[in-house]
Amino acid sequence: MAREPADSVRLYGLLAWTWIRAAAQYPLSMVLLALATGVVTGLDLAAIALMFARAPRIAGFTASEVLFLYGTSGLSFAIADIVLGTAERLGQHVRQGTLDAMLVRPVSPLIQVATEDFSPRRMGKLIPTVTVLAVVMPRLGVAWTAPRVLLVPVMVGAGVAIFAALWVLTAAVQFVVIDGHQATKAITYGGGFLTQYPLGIFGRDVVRGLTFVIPLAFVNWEPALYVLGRPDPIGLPAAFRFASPAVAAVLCAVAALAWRSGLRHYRSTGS
Amino acid sequence: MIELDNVSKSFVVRRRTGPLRRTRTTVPACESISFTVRAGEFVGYLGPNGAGKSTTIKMLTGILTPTSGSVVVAGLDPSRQRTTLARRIGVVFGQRTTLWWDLPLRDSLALVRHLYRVEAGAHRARLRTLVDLLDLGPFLDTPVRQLSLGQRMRGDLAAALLHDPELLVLDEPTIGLDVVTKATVRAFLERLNAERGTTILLTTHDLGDIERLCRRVMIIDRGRLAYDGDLDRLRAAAGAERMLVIELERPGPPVRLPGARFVRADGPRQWLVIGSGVNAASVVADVAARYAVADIALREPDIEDVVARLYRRGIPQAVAAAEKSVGLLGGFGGAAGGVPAPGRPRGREQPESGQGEDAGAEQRLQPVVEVTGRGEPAGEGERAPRRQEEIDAPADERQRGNQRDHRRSPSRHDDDADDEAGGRHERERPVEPGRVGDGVGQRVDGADRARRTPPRRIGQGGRQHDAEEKSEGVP
Amino acid sequence: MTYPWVMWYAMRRYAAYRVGALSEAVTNTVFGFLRAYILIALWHARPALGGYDVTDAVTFCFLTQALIGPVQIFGGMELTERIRTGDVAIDLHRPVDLQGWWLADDLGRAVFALLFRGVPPLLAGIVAFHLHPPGPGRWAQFAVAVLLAMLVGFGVRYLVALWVFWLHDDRGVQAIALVAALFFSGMLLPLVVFPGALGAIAVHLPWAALIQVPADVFLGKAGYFGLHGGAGLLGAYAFQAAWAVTLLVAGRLLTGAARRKLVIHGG
Repeated sequence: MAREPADSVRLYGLLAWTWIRAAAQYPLSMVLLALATGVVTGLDLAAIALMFARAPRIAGFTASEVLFLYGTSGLSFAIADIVLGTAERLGQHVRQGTLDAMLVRPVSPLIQVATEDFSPRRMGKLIPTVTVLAVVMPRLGVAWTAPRVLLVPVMVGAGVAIFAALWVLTAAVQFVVIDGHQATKAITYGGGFLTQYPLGIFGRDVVRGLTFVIPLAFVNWEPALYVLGRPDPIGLPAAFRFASPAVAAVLCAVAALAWRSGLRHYRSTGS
Repeated sequence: MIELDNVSKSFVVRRRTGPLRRTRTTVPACESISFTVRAGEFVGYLGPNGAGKSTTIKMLTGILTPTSGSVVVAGLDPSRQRTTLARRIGVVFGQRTTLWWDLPLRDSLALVRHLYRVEAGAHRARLRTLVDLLDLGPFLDTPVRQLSLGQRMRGDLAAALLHDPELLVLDEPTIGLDVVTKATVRAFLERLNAERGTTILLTTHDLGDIERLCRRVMIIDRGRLAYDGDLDRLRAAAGAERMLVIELERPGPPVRLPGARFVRADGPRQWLVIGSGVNAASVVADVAARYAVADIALREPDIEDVVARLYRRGIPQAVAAAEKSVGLLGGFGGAAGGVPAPGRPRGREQPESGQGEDAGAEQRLQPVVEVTGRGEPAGEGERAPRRQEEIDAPADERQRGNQRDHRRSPSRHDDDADDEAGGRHERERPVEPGRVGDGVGQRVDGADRARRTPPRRIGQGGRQHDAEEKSEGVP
Repeated sequence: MTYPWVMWYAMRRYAAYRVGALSEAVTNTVFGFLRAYILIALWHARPALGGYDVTDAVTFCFLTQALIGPVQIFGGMELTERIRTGDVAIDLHRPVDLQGWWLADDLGRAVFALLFRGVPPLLAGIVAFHLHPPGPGRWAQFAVAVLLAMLVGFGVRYLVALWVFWLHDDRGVQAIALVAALFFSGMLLPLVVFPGALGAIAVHLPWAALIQVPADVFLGKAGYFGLHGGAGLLGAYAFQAAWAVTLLVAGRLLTGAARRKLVIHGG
């Protein structure tokens, strides 16, 4: 809906804070659950650790480099999940009719769905990824030039936007398709998973698909190639390394469009 | 405040006919509905299930966009200016809650406050008032899912009024409530309308609500607005008659008396209908004289009876025919005016409605009431017997209503089996003849609770660690 | 005989959502592909890791994806919700055994999941990666192992579900159960990859019976670890059966305790 972005952010914050306050009445439970979430999120890290316990280099990448990929992708994904992850529940709301209750309010239903059940527990997802990044980055053995240093936060930010846009897209699908939407998890969760690894291991065709069709390669792979000083296995021009913000912007626009048209469809066909 | 002009809404339904084929049919939910509600009015909105009440409400609030026609609420177009409008109206759904399940009521109201941008001072004051009036104090800190239906409804009302809206729309608010809570809610609404001048549109099956609160009633039937006017006129027009309930000393053959018609018997008890214009006292005396009677009771026409009658045989025919024959044409408060005075309309005089002007009334009548060709104007004298026949005619045209219920799920779930399991969150209660308005017996048990989402598909194949979020065990 | 009927009814109930199940199978398949590539990369670096060759590893990967549904590795049971709302009191007053009922129900669900969520990923993997499906004898052995795995899976989840009787907030227990299940069943990586002591412990735990053991049976490597003794396949079955029995008996005892608690405290 047409409103100031700053306004939306402020409103999001207010709503999230109200939920947090409600959860804070059980502080011990909150902390424990945050830790539990952290551990569950850390399972992927455990898998990578196990793999590198057996082989020093995999697909030509060292443990630090893969952990760097894991950290950046994981951080982007975690933040996007915290902010917009619950949008996935849209299908539930459509089915139960609770979306109508949201439409009666003067706030975008997306914000309402996204802040639902906002709990500090979600923050637990950040623990493994932030820790890993903090530990690994000094050990990467790359020459930290200014562009490289700058590129890391840009990369993470663009990654957040890309994942967030994907979340919104998969939610928008649920306006139209109710039962088949689980397949979209392959894109959101699958995307989060595969970007933890060097995309090179997935084969040229897959990488091309992930660059031009579903732009997951721009979450961390392309910029990381620059940061880590590695050549591109499929030989794309150097400009691609820095294209993440632009790609993110385009994807967000697409997602916004999809959401609006999905909502319009819902409002004309009822439920 | 509300203006609907020739509003129609139809849905496209896809239904499975055979293993692979699907047919698409267009089902009209609302057809050419027009009415106007002035600011400060208290209007009741009735109709059988599936008639299109909820659809109208949804179009008013911006949830649905009409297929054709124009809707203007508080000067805004709901489909285009939904958020602006939402700030000025409050909506209460009876069958599901607008509150959040897991939060205490107080926090839910805090969320509502932020959503509507009520500033802190105003919020505090308003909350205090609402807590007082609705007696929310005892359970302000209880999670909404643990509230009883009555408490939840009061909470919903508070949430809808926290931002002091100009218009309050209620969709079956008293459904399933106990008598005391109903009384509280009704008193509250009455006061709201009288003191703050909030316009109220009340959709309900409970005719007690209507009788208590509204002077003006609109009835929608099969997608068309069938009646829009005074409650008393409706009662008269539908030709409900007084009922005489006789308890004989022992069961016997049906009682036959002039001026009274036998309806049914159940053991020693018999029900007779006394025609209007007949003196009830004489009938009673007659009965007592001729039969060994243990007890007698005389009942005034029940509004539920009235409406059940209308629902059963199709409103336009009964009302139009009766109205025409009785000569009450001028009394309809139709789309063009003749609307009862805001606030507390009294009596049935509507001096501004141009009584006696048949031509004018015809014009006004057309969009509101469907004249089906059965109602030839009859003189006053023919009134009684004519109406008797019409009322006796057995017509059951309610079944169409059921078709409407189906339209919702097939477009979402292509599998019929889904219907029973979870798609139909808007299932309306079936109306049984004669039991309209029996709100007490039908508890809606947390209808907003997940009506059986598909059996738990835990671990949605997604990333392992994120499945933790999605598995119900870790909410 | 109520139990076969319960099982059949559960299958039918879930069959109403076959579109949903198939779309989940799509996601499972995609994950299968992703993990396959990762394992291939690992095996290039360390061929013959843990006694598997690359083909074995990829087959393993698709087997795990196929078994997600039947064994419900992500945990959870509708029973938990019923206990939380108190509806279980109705169940306990019925003249049907609570555990038996839920076992039958779960088996029905598992069979449905086997068909609709198990077959697609496995099929896709076999076709796309040119895996060699084994002969019918091995399939039969695999089927037995899967059945035992379903029982073990039910046993674990049933115990976890019953804990809600005592702890009103079971999210902690569920989280722990989830982590343990994912880690120790072979979902992350085949247990053969686990180094040293960790691997030695992991293969004794019940979760290994859920995925690792059936997969090993499929690959013909049951008993490779030497833990199941020389009897190989039979040893594998015995391992699974032993855990199944233990868990089910524990479930029985816990059900009794729950019933007593309900009677005494009114739920």
